[in-house]
Amino acid sequence: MSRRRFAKYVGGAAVVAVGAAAGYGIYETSKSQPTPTATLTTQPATETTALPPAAVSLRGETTSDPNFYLWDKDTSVTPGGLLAEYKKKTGATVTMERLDWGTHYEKSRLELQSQSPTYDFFAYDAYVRGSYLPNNWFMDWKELESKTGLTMNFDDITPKIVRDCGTFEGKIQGIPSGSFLSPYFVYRKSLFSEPNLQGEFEKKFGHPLAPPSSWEEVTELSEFFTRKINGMQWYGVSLLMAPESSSDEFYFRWLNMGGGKGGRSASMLICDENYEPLINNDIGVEALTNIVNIFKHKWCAPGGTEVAWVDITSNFFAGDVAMGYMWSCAWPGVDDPGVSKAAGDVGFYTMPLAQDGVNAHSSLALGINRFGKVPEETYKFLQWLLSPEQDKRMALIGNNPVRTSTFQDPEVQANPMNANLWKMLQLPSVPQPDLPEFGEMNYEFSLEIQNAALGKKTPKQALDDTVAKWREILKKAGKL
Amino acid sequence: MHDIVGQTDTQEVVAMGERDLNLRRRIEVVVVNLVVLLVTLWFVFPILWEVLASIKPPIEVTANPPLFFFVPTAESWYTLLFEKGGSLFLTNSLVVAFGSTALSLALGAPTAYGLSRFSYKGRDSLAMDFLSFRMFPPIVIVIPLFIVFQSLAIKNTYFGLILGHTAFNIPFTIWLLRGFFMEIPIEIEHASMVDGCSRMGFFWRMLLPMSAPGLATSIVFSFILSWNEFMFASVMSSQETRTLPVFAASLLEHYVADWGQFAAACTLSIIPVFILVLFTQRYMIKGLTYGAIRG
Amino acid sequence: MSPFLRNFFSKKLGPLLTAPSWAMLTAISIYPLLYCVYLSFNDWNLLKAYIPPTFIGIKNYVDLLFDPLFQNTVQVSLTFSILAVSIELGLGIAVGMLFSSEHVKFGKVLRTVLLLPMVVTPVLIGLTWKTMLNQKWGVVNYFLAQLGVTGIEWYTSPAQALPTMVLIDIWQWTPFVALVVFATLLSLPREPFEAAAIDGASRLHIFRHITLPMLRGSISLAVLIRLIDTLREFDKVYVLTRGGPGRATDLMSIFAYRTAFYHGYVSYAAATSIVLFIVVIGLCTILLGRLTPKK
Repeated sequence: MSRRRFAKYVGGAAVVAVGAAAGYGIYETSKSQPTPTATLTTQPATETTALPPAAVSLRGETTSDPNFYLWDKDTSVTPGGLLAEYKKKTGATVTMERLDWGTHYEKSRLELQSQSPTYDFFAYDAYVRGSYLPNNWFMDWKELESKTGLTMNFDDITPKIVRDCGTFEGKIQGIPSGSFLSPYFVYRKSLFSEPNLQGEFEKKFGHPLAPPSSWEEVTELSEFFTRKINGMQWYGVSLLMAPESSSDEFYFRWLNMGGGKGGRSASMLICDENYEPLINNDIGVEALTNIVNIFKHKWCAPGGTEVAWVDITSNFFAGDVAMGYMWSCAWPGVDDPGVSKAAGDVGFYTMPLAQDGVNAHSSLALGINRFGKVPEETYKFLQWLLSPEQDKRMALIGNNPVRTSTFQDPEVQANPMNANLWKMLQLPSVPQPDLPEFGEMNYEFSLEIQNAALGKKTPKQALDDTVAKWREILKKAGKL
Repeated sequence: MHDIVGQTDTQEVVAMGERDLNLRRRIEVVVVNLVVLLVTLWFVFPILWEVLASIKPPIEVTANPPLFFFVPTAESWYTLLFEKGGSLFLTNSLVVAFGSTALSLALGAPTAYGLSRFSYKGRDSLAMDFLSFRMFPPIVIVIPLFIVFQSLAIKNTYFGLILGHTAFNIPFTIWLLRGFFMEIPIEIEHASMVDGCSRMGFFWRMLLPMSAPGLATSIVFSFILSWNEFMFASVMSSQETRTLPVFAASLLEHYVADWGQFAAACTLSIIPVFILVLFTQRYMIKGLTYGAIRG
Repeated sequence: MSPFLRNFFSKKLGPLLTAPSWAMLTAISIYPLLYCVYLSFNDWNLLKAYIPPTFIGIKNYVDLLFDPLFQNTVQVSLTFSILAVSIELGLGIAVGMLFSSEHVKFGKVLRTVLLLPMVVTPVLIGLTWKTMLNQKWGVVNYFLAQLGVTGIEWYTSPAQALPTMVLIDIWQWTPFVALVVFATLLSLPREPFEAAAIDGASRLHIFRHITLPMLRGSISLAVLIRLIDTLREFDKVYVLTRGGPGRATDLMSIFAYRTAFYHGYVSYAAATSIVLFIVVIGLCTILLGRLTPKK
């Protein structure tokens, strides 16, 4: 390379470096000054009827989730949606940006990592809260509660939700607006009440046709319903296998249904307090064998190991799958004849858990950006959104409620989906380690699940290899 | 007599030979056109399928077996454009594409001129350098630029997106225009200089008009490159500036996907491109032979 | 303006004209590249942002060398590139020659259609093929079933996933090779062909000994370009399988992306990106060497 060109490179790089340093310097200094945006008039104590500042604009970055669509869904209860109502009430505009889960995961952490003030609140998946909470990017709700004087009434919110979704080192960093539980079964009522099928099932398996109460029964039902009924090909169930859809999560929920017939104890911890992996104990192996069995015999909807969340609902909505098994938040559209061919024929069901069985609880929790421009206004909005009145209204249009008072409300209880949910919420949930490495660990786990499903390894081997990989990752993280 | 018979024989043979040739040629025509049709059909089928899916009733898009005959409905389009804000994202894509095309042309044309009609040491290797920028994997660029754009407060703006897309477009524009400029004979330039025209004058008044096809080609390619760009746009844009590809991909949500709206978004995304390609098809093919580097 | 300056400007006008583009590209491409290099010599995790980057020298690169996952990635990338490019080459020549036949009617429309796969947004191409190859309600499996072929799992089977990606890439880029061939054929002189026809040479003979050698220049160009682009492939594969099932389609750019954004090991991903960059630049140098007009 000629000297002149080399000089040009160095000169150009130097210019750029100086420019970047200058830019960063400007940014730093501007950060320490209050950025002139919302005209904020701090309202003391009593709230709801107070006149708000004129031009507050809040922006949230969330993922595409039916739960959030209910915020601006046009219904007779809240014409124009809750966001429109908040604007009418307080004059504050709230915009929500939705991206698919993967892009949202990347973008939200990029934004927070660079301390960007663009977004005032974020939704984060409580399953990967270890990627967010230890970084202290979100404000403490209790702190904002005392600052603004608006009470959240945390006692009314299911403690499990508060603890599992948003509490880290004693501070509450996030509260969800819907409590998602898994496993949540839906099934086609007409199939289960068809006399011919009932007779055939009883003859073959020796007990009546009914929604499953154990792993073995799920297997039996999957096998039974994968057949041609009235000329159309049916499938028993859809199995989630795609790593990017956290198939490990799916599998955890399967485990958490507890033991098979006879209600064995299911101490399905992922790791113990010292971060020793426990996943490959014999209950774990049995559960994985169960899933692999269904997969091998193809008693599930096709799609192999790439079935993702979106395929589970698509498959059930397409009307030729007998059972669906997903997060509770995924099913609001299932009775809508505009999008679901199963509409009007759906039964909701919670599988009885084993003796000390646990279920899995997770949600999209809402965190207030520490670097946002108006955290207090954001808190006000979220406090209003999660207040008992709004929680109930959302419950009535299909959301999974967050507050105990909402669950107890007879109108809300009338919806079978919520009634089941409430029962499940009383039970303990799987403690999950709040590690940043959790996402990576689960990715490796789901790859091993794929290996087992495809027959490359036996379930036991797959689980043992998972534990080996987990120990490696945990060692690198300094936890083991 | 003998002669006449001989002549008739030859004529008959020749006539038969010609008929054979005609037949063979006609068969060839049919076969060639049939194969061409099949090949074209294969290349266009996925696009056609999405267009069809966008006018199916939404619930039937995932029908098994697939639906081929149905009553078309504009439901997916309506939802996309009026309820989901599809028109906003269309506008954003248009603005960013036009902006980056204009900017890369404004910066690239003089550069191409400087790289083609002058002679100085290192000219050709400089041209190579510009081309190599095209080869940067986008992932190398995303994180640092995110931080820089953020600190300069241009992250969620048209300007930021245009700037980023221009960086992807300029190398290609330069390369393409350089090739076109080099085609124009040097005598014309010498003649104009003898007539007293400055080099920049020549550039503006003569070179650019004469290389209109080249400009058209580079405009089309730049537009398409910016229109299709995904990674940079998904990271840098927020709601107001989100472009069409990012929006279309986000329609396939975590739990519930509306395949009909997605099909409508795909179709919407291809309409401007299709129109452009239709009108500049000849130039585009020519541009390809200049070692078209796509990114 | 002083004569010295005027002289300076006129002498240096060429390089000066390139300055604005150069400045912009330095800012938007070189700076991130340098930042990436800097990152690759450190240890930084996005998920543990409270720990600042710590210098670890070339440890990332050493780890990369011995990482079986990276070795898998290299193997997958190479397989993908070589398979895709070789098939595109063969098919492209065939299609190009087909379309340049004199029997073809509606050539302009057909060539427009042929351009379409290359100009549709790659992300949307991936998602469209995802819907078409869906095992339950996808239209491709429906057609195959009519022909009696069942059980093809496409991208959901580890063995079939990479061939599926190759298939989609062929769908997208064969038109590129085909159109390069087509455009080159148009510009070829007619004399050699006419002479050979008069001499009674068979079509195959003409093809092998006249057409192919004359196409060699532009074809090798097209092949090199395709090679470089397949190594940088990201959009459509990522959106279809994210590198799965297992790691069957884990291309280099997907590996880097996931390592950086999902697992948070930004510095490790930076090292991967630099390796990819070096490979691409290496190939690029070869390409540019061929493109230099020989004086």
